[in-house]
Amino acid sequence: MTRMPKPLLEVRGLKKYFEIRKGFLMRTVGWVKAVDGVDLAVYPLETLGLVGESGCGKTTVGLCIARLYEVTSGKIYFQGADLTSLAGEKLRAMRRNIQLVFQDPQSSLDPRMTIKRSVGAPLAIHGLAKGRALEERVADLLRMVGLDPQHMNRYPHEFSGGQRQRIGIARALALSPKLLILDEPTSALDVSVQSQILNLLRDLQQRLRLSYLFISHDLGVVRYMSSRIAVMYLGKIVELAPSEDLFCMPLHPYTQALLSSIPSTNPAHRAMRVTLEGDIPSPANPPSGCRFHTRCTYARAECAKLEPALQDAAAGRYVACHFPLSNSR
Amino acid sequence: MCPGAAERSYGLREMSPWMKDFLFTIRLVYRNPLAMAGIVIITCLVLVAVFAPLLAPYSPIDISLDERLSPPSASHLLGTDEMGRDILSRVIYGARISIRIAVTVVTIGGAVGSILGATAGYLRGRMGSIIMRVMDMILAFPALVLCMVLAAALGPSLNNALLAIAFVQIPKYARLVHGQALSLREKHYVLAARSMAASTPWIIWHHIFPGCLSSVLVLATMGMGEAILLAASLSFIGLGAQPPEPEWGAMVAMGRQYLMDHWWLATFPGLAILVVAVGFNILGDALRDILDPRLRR
Amino acid sequence: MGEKLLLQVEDLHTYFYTLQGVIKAIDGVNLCVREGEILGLVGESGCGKSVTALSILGLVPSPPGRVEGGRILFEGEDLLAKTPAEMRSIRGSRIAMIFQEPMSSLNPVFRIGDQMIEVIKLHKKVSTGSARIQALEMLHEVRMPDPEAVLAKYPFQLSGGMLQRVMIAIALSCEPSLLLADEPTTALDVTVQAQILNLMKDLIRKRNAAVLLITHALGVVAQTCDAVSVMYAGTVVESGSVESIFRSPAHPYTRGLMECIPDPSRKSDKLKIIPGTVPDPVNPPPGCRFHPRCYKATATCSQIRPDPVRVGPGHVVCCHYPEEG
Repeated sequence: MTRMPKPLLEVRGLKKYFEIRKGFLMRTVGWVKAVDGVDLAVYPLETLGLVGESGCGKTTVGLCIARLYEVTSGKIYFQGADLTSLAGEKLRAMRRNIQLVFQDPQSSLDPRMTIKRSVGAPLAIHGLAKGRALEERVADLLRMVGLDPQHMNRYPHEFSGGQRQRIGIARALALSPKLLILDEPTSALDVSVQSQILNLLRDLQQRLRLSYLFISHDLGVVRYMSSRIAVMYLGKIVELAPSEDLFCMPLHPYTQALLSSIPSTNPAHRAMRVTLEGDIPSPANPPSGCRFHTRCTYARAECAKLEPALQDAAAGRYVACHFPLSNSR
Repeated sequence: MCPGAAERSYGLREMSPWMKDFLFTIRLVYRNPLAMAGIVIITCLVLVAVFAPLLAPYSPIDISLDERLSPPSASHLLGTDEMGRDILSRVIYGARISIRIAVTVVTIGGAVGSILGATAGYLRGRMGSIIMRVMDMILAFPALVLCMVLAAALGPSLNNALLAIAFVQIPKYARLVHGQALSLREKHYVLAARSMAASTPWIIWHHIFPGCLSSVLVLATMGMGEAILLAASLSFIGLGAQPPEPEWGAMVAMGRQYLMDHWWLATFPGLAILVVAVGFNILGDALRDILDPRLRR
Repeated sequence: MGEKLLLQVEDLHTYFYTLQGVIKAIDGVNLCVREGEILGLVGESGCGKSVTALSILGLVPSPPGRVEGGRILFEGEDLLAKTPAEMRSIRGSRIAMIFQEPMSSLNPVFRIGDQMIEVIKLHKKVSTGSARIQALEMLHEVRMPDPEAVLAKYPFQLSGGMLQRVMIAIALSCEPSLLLADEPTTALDVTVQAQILNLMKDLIRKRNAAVLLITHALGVVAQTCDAVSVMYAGTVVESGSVESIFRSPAHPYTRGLMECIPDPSRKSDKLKIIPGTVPDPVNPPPGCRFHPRCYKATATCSQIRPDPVRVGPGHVVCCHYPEEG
């Protein structure tokens, strides 16, 4: 890691618990530990993929970094400054650097706003442009994402899903951010449109020198986009590695199971699949010890007792497992 | 085409979105007979109010004691009251008061209620709970009783009555907007706005209010009918408009004493209240259908 | 796997009459499912794959929808000629279905057991006691942990994967010869999806039933199906066995679809794309519907609708210029 430049974003010990309230008095009866101690770093110009199944807390991590959720504990450093302690004007200024692209292109644009107003909103909020200048800037942004600026007076419902996602990207780019948090940006889209958006994101990254935190459940998409990948399970990162290493030689049994669950498009590869038994446990009541031990084929007695920490496994790889897989493939 | 041409022409080639929306609304109204009926009634009310001096054959307040209590006839189409005032003229001028009531009450009640509801719904938490519990407390009283208490405390006058009615209407708007704000605040575009450092008032103004506008409009239209009824009720018991103001409720109250022998005194202003209240209600119903997003999008 | 045809859809047209115009959701679809075969029907959203299933089941919402022409032969009988009452008795007993959202297919206020028993009683005319025994057997068969307890639970108490197991149990409880599965695993996580697909495959093989598996995921098809039909804009553009279609896709659309999915098993430099978007179903392009997005389209493609061409054993493609190899 010493060769690496300073990280753009660094997350340390991030925890986000949601209260479960019940009854007339709304007493707190428990906590959903959506994110329970996450450490990660995004370096300039790289894409860090964050994968996991539904309910693993990957979206919550994204929203915490964008400061849309108050964190329960932990620190988030952006270019060395701690975001969790910022407030007021400093937070406002810092927000320009981190922008979000959401999954659902239906809900990410206000149906009552024209595209011009939606894309121009960040500029208007920060008082960066108005009138003619704002219109020019919006036209530039739309052109940048491959849309016709002539359509800027239309409403979102006049666009297809892929076009709406482009509009969402244009809006996120309006403030010239350094880091984009992409939360499942293509999972609501058709495959033929998905590839257009993925290529657009890669082009934009090169052209605008952006860093991405790419959140997805689709391993194929994550591999295509990311230089490094973090795998989450029940609020924790179980493995973090350069993407080639992760796909060629997973160290955590969960990563291995996840990789082999992906239905391959090669009909000849049918027999090779290792499927996991059972469902993902509830994050309100996670298993003791290693959270994966209830579904793990390699689990031993101590896995249920002792929680493994995310440990350095050489060559920029980290794994949270008592018995990591070695060259098992 | 030269490269600059496309850029210069944008905005012109596209029809203005407001215009497109407006034309679509017209088409929907045209296809909805109920909406037409409501619009006709309310348009008549407005026209009558505006042109009252031209339409009314007599002054609404001049007393002529020799003509008192005369039944409907050619000279007095709806008869005269116990002071000899022409009832038709009083009903016509009463339209002006009704519109004043409807507009004042809905503006005050709707604005205050929407702001409170949007704030409570968007902020949630302690602040939201306090606001909504206060609203519940107001709702716990029967509207009319609370109006009476307030109007009596403020002193009998039409303006005080309007304030009392507006106050009583606040929780309805607050509850409606609160519910919608709760669902709108979860929309990703609101999250996006927060991530761009938009302030709370900005988000409420640009995202929450426009999102609630159509249902507030429906409620406000129906609320106008209710406001007129409540004002008439207050005037009926002497807490609203004071004689000789030609307020319909006050007229019904006066006419009540003569109802057995001189039915026209109370009947015509009563009919006016009925028609206008029904008009606002069916217009509100029709608006709800027209503004239905499933129909529009 | 028998060679006998179980379901044959010929030149099916289903249109929707809306304010915006006539939506030709299905415009000339041909399909055939053999006994004991799993046929995958793939395509992007709006290509008409779900409407095809609804047409087969006689469940096209009408108005605004109407089946305008074609034949649907199931075990030799034309389903389009059946009365609604006859269709009701076919649905659930001879043709069963599973949908994407198991939560919305089950009634939230009744226990799982009551709903299963009711379905079994309705179709098999047996007593409550023996229906309950059969329900338990079915839950065992779908490898449900602790079936007794599940019978007493309400739908919201089970996870998506468990509910989909219940749906499969209900669907198979009446021994159907055809199962229509509309995106059965799309709402599930990958690890659970793998379980459900394997389970479905095993149970179907055991019963020698056939499946029409509707999905947008090519990986699911490659792993589960015997044959594939690819749909685009209301028509079937290519059909054949899984092996031949995945080895040598002959339609440019099929090929494009396969190339634009990022492959998790290898590093790709630049993804291929299919330019443009799915055409407007009210005004579909003339000729071949794919020609505006096709890299090898010519004037012929924009005028003449291509007829099916045989490019291999059982492999048929609707294209003027099929891909080689």
